[in-house]
Amino acid sequence: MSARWRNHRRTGLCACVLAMGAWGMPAMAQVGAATLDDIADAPPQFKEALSGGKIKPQASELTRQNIQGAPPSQDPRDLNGMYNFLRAPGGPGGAPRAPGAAAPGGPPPRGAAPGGLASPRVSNVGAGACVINNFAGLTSYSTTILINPRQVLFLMEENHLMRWARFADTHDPAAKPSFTGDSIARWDGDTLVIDTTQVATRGKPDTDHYVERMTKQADGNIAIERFRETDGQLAPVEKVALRWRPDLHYVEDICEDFGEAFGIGYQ
Amino acid sequence: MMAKGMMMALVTTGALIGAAAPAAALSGQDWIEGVWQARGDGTLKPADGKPIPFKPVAAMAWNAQKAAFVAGDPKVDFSRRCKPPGEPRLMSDPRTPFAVIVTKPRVLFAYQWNRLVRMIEMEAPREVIGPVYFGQNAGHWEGEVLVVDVQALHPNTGLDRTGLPHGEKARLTERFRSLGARQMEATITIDDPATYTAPWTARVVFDRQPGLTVKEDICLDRENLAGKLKQ
Repeated sequence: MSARWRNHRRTGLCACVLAMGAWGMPAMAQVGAATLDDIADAPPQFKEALSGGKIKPQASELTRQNIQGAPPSQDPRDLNGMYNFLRAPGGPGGAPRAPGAAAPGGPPPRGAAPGGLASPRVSNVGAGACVINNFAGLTSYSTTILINPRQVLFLMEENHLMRWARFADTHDPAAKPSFTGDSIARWDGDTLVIDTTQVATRGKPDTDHYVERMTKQADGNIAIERFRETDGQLAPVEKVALRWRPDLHYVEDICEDFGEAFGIGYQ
Repeated sequence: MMAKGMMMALVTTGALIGAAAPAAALSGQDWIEGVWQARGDGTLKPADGKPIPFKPVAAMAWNAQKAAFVAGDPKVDFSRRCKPPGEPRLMSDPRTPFAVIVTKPRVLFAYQWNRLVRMIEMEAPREVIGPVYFGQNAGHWEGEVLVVDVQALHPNTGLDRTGLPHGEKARLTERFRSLGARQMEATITIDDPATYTAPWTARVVFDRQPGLTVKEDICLDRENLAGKLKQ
């Protein structure tokens, strides 16, 4: 994560608290807040930001710290690595937005129906900075994928988000609604298919069923097509590319620390 | 109290529920994969039965805040403010089972508690980035024993649920080995000249918990529901 992005978020946190109310906060922490510049220009200065200036960034060190280094494995099923996201412009859910419009999969509008797990009332202003709101937002700024024959994990650096899918034929019958849902994985050729049920969205009373198809490209990027079940049919939601970023390194990100620094959450 | 908070997490989120899990120990270095739960009371003590070799100043500081820490005062125990408790505290607390996942580049300890992940990097030693809550974890295999070198521990963390202190240059060496299909042992050697007069080693035994898996937990939601956050 770049220092620029962190500063961007910190500045955004303050602005949101003061001007936008409860649901402006998560909006700044969502993927929709990042721009292409943030992604293309992601520098390694996070090291300096994290260490209070004690450690200076050096790109060569970062390269040495990569999971596998570059180039990516040629095994189409070896998804291990570090990525960041790109939303496909113009695709379903990825179409250009008007200024000020909500990001696809972004937080629900204020005043959404209260009640239960999906209620926005579950979170206060402070918690809103660091809680999960929905499923689509889980494709966060920097993502580490770790995979073995039994499971696949998606570790999103921002706000220590984790998605976890096990290679299995059936869902956990005891699974309860959650923002990450219950995920099972299978291979369709060299495409990883992840089927996720029980997906909760804050402000939405029922749960969703998503299917994602993830295919590794020759350049190491991963193309993701995301579908959501609607009236018994899988409808395309969006296309996302996870870009192979061997120059990045997963960094511990504790949103709760940022929150306190801005007078929210625990005081 | 930390324990109380963790128990609340287990209760309010549906906690650890039944799901498919390996019934038998896995072969080779994969033996460690699965869900584990520590035995004991979550405190670290020297395995040789001797007193903890505190430096006098460190002992005074620990004794001064130990009661508040154990009672869950968020002014001294930052995990009560939803920040990571750190290691080896989190893994050695029997109230926080964790899943271990083995991949080639990383070994992960995944906790339900606020979705925390400890990432052990199975790579050559490298420059420290820190301090961070889980420390910098450099792991390697010695046969089927997982050895982890931990440094750069965050000052907000304690080594165990009593707030056992550590300095900024503390270095931990953890050795995880199988005790058969259903048990695992971790020996944790704490080398922290600023806090202790000599390195000392604690031992924690874990039970495999087939049929458990780790579910989503959002600490700030939980605390908000409990009325602990300002509105």
